[in-house]
Amino acid sequence: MSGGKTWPRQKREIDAYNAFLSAYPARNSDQGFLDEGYRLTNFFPTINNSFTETAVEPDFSLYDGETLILSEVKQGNNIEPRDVEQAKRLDSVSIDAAEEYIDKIDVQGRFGLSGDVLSIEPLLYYDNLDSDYVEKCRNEWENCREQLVELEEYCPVLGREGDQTLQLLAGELDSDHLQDWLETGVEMAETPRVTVTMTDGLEIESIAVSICRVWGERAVSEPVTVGVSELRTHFNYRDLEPGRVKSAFDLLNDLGACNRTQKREVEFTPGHMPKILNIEQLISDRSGDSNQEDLDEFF
Amino acid sequence: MNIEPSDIQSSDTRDVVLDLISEVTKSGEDMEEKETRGDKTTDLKLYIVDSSEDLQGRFSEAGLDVAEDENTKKAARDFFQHVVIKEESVNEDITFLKVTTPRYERTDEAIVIDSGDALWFLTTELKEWLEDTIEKVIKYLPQLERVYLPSEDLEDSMRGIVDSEIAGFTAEYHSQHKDRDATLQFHGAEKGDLATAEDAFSATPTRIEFNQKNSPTTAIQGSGSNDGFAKLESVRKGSEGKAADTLLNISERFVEQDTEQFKVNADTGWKLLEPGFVVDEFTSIELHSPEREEADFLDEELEDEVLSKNRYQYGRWGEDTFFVYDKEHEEVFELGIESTELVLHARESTTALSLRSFCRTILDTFDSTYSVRKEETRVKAQ
Repeated sequence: MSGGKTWPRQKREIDAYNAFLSAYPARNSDQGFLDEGYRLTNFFPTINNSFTETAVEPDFSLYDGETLILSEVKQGNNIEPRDVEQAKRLDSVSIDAAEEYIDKIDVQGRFGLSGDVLSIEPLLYYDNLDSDYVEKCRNEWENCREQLVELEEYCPVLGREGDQTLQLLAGELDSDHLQDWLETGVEMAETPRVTVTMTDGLEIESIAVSICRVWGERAVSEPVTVGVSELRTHFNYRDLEPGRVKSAFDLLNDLGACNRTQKREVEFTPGHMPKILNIEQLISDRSGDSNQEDLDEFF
Repeated sequence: MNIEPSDIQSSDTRDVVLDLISEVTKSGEDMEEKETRGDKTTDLKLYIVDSSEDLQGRFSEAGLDVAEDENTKKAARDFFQHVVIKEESVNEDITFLKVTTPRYERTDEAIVIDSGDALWFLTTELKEWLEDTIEKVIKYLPQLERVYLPSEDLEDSMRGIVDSEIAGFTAEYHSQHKDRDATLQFHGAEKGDLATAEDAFSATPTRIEFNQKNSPTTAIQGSGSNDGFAKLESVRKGSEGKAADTLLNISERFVEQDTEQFKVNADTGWKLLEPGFVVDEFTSIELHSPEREEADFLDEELEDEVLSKNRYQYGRWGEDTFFVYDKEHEEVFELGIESTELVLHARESTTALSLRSFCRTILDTFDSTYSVRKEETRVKAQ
């Protein structure tokens, strides 16, 4: 890891997640996923799938009692070869695998939904992709066209049209209803609620920020402690190595946002609150002028 | 007050209200003579209070806790160091509260009733005195907060009183973008006057006076304020029952509106699932449609005018989001700026206390032209 330099990129990834989620209970529209009957069942689920060698790991899953939407969220607008690979994997999830997954997450108790899965709709959302770009990609840039054509074969592509409309820009959904609805689009929030603060790659800065958002914020009246094991349980969706958690603890400690009480534990007190709340800025400041970093070096 | 705890030993809530109304009851002749309001005559006041803890029987102790808490603001500590609070239990739901200020040799009394959904403080003491005693008890105990109604809700509630008409009002206007801080006071209002004040000056009501008829004559004069305060100024002999019902209805309506607007019903906590985790439900409050169309420096204005208050600590997330810690209520909430509008998101520790208090500060002192709307996402199986 490169000492905080990657935070601006992590933040863009997190912003993309939260932008997408702002189309779920869409405050500015009565056409959000929730209004359409979908429930956000999980952040970062793991779906064991017999058609792929390893588990399939979308960013979010949504379910309405019949259809399971598996969505992958990307910052920027650049269609990468690995996106095509991801789309292919999402598209390969079988009904059996989907039902097995749905069984684990108590959709009956939480939402009163049956555990049946009749269809699966994978989709990719790019936070900075619009119809102009898709048109140029398709008609003018040959490399881009190749990726796009391959991608849309597996998975419909959504982007941000205008300032803040989540819209279908390429490819097709199996369901005509979903197709019509996403062609019309969903108004997202101008300033999305900060719901997710973790990156898919579980980078140290994003772990540190997430620790503040969940445990730090609980220290409103009394000290709150959190240890490595509890964190690994909370973020059990990906293999969170103990060493990374400890690095995140070190980072928070360096920034004065907690006390390091034991080797594998930190303590937040109400006195830490100004730093806990300002952790994003503190980490941004630390990463200095990394805005100029080259995006591509990370892919 | 003329009532002693022993007088109401076996009373229920309505009986207590009726007893207190007898202190403001007037003969028909007196009612005719009393054409203008605001004389220093006795009136019956009701403070409608949301409480996060059952404090009845423990007011004195709760006050001493504040007095000894180094982290509490000085004004609150000083207050509880200089008053003596005594409380006498009348029955399970009713206590008699006495706040004595030795320096002035004064004792103010209020009857405190647990009405189920709110705590009532009923008293006939003079408002000027109450401001230094009972009101401060409510203000400085962190477990208590008066309910609050945005102007539109206040107007709805007051217009809902049967057989009544609006007889006067106080309407206010303040905004960051105009150098104007105006208060309109209107007595002897006629139909449409309030709408005129709203249209002509963008002033929104914070207090509404009403006259209520008990056929055929005006029998009850009272008012309601947006800070959870209602008053019966005079009641014609024979109309006491109707007046009691009116006061009880106002309270019920106020609590209903306040709950509707500020209560966090959603379960905003993190859920751990075997594969992955999630937050299932959300509560947001939008302060929307202000008068101004642009607010390029809204973040700085909020920092200077609101978030700099002692009760708050805050941090920023990106350009347009603040995370705010309300030290007094010990809660954290999220505040997003969307052009001219503000959106509050409840986080795990957030309740109505910090949300209401923030909205109230915005409407009372920052920009009175915002409207308030709550949005909730509930996903539980019905």
